[in-house]
Amino acid sequence: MRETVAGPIVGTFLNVLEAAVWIRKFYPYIQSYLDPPKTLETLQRSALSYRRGYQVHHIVEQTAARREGFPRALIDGRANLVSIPTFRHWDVTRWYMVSNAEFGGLSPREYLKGKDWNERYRVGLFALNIFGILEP
Amino acid sequence: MTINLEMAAAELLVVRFAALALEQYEAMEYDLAYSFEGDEAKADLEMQRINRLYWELKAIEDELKRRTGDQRRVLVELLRHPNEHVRLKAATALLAVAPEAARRELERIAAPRIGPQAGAAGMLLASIDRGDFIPT
Repeated sequence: MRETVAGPIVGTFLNVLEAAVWIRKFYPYIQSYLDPPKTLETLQRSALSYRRGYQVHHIVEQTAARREGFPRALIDGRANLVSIPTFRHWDVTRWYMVSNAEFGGLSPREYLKGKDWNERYRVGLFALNIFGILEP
Repeated sequence: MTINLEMAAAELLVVRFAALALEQYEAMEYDLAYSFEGDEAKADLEMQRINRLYWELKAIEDELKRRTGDQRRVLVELLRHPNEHVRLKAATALLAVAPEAARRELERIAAPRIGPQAGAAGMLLASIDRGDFIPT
């Protein structure tokens, strides 16, 4: 594409430059996606600081928990917050939203409606484990 | 494409099943891309598409199950499909009628513990092993 605008040599140079910019921007996300599983304590401790390529994740989903009246101190408490790779965060979040055979066609989020905190926390930890974020 | 499931040959249902699973895979990719761009409205639409497709896939599964001799086994050929999501959906549908082949494929998909398909397969296997989900 660049070649048609600026000639083959300049075009190639611009493409390489563009790729370099892309890699620089996304490298932390790709690198974090390949992180090995960590202990719960490590994930919780990491949630106290910002790192590029990572997001703070609520083990018990915050929006649903707030809607169902769980106290803010519990939802945003240290025990409920972990820092996990951004792309894996999306994998887990998406899993919560997608209809599943094991929940009779409900999404995990729908299944957890009306469940107590312990069941939500158990499912949350379990998801982190299965998605390779939390050590078994 | 709309087809009359009750009138369709089993071979056509296999093709349709693969096409819908591929469409669901595509919706998941778009959902991810829109999430990354921060376009929540478009990501929500893709999530709706993902869950609508779940029920369309389920309808094919139910139609095959309803037929004489439970014909879900015809989906076995999709366990060799090049797309991981198609294999995941086929293996899930086959758990009750071809449990060994289905489980083997789910274990293969879950093994890397990275990506939405691996997570979904891992969660499904864990639910079966805990006795929370009994395929029928």
